[in-house]
Amino acid sequence: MEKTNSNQQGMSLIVQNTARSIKGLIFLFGIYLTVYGHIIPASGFSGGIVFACVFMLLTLAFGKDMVLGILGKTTAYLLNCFSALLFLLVASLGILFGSAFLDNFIEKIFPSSNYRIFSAGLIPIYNIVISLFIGAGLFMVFIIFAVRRVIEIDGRRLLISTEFFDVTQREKS
Amino acid sequence: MIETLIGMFIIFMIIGAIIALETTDLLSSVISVGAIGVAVSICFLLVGAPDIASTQLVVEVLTIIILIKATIRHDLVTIEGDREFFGLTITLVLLFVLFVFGIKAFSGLPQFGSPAISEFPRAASNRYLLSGFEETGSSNIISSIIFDYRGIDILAHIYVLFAGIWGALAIMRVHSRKKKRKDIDGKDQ
Amino acid sequence: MVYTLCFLLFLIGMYGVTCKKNIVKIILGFLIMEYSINLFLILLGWKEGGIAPVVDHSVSPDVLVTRSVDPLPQAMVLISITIGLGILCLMVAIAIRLYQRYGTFDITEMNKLRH
Repeated sequence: MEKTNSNQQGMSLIVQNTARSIKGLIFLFGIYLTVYGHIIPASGFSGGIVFACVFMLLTLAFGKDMVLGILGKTTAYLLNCFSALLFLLVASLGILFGSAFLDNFIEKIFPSSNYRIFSAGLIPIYNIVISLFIGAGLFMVFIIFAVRRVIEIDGRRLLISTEFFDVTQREKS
Repeated sequence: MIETLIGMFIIFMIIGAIIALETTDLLSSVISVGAIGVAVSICFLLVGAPDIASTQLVVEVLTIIILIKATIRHDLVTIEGDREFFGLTITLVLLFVLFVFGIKAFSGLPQFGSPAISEFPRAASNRYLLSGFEETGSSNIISSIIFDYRGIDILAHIYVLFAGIWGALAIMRVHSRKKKRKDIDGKDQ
Repeated sequence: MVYTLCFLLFLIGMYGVTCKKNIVKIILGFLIMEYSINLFLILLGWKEGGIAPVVDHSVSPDVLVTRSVDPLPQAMVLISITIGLGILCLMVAIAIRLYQRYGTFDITEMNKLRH
């Protein structure tokens, strides 16, 4: 691969500058939707999808190398699996400290002041866990659909995703 | 007033759906489906569901980009025509019969603008609205429903989403490891 | 009236699923069906002059019971939209695999090439 090829990856200069200046604002908007999910009409679902959209914008603007430098594929699927487990774990804390599975025990023990970030017991924690889960999962799906290369198998030219299950590198090592 | 507005939006969606299904260009059909999604999002905003509207808008963007990145690059050769004539006629007749039964069934629903919770004071939604703020401390009633009152529901839904994402990852995997393969061009598409 | 239009949109999506040859058009038909069902469920909960179900400093829970729209369909549809995105990813992955196996998106061609 020529050296100039890495510079041509991604889109034009206007798109790159715009993406570089608004990526922080979009990420901040996702954090706002997630953390305030029990006060304003939003939730961890929309926050997580906004997180995935930030990485999608960076992938389209700068190419895959920069994005996989920020959030690697191992980090992404560990984040996805462990946040799915963490939801179960936080839910089963209700058996220990409260009365039942998925019990909102913090709110019952320490009734907090309303309209604050630290209120409503376990609901903000569930929001954060779900936003991590959905953001990491949709990031993985987008990467396998967007980053593919042409590989020849049995004489047929196929366009195959080599990002998450990279067999060719495993054979070399 | 709002009924006619929503009716106009749904007629717009129907036109968009017909264009999306009948045009021969795949890129135009995907863009038409995007227009339908934005109209659905505006309808959600009109009937008092702002969080659903924002979620639908963001999901729409992701849907369009996944469809374009994944499928359009493969095959710009258009495939014209429907299936064979006999099956098409049977299907259209069945859809028309279904539509007649649907009109019959929807006449029994409560009128638009007067939902069932205003007729039955002991409905579950009324209890959520009345005591959800005190019991869970969350001022967004939808959050208190999906994470507290109906938590097991969302638990199951999360694992359905988990299975969907990992199913897509496993399907896109390179199948046979021992067969011969080589990179034609190392450039990523 | 509005419900019937929603059902018409659903039937158009079902026509796309059953009658189209191209597999991408079938996926788009599924998307249209999903949109119409979500819209129908939200429209069922609309109350005349309704507000969003969020408690505020000026809106107490007693006011909310008389004025708010139905929150239960909104909670279900919020999850349903996200699930729909996951199902879409699964369908697109299957479509790409079928294209690599048979070299076409046409499902009648796939029937002929099957062996």
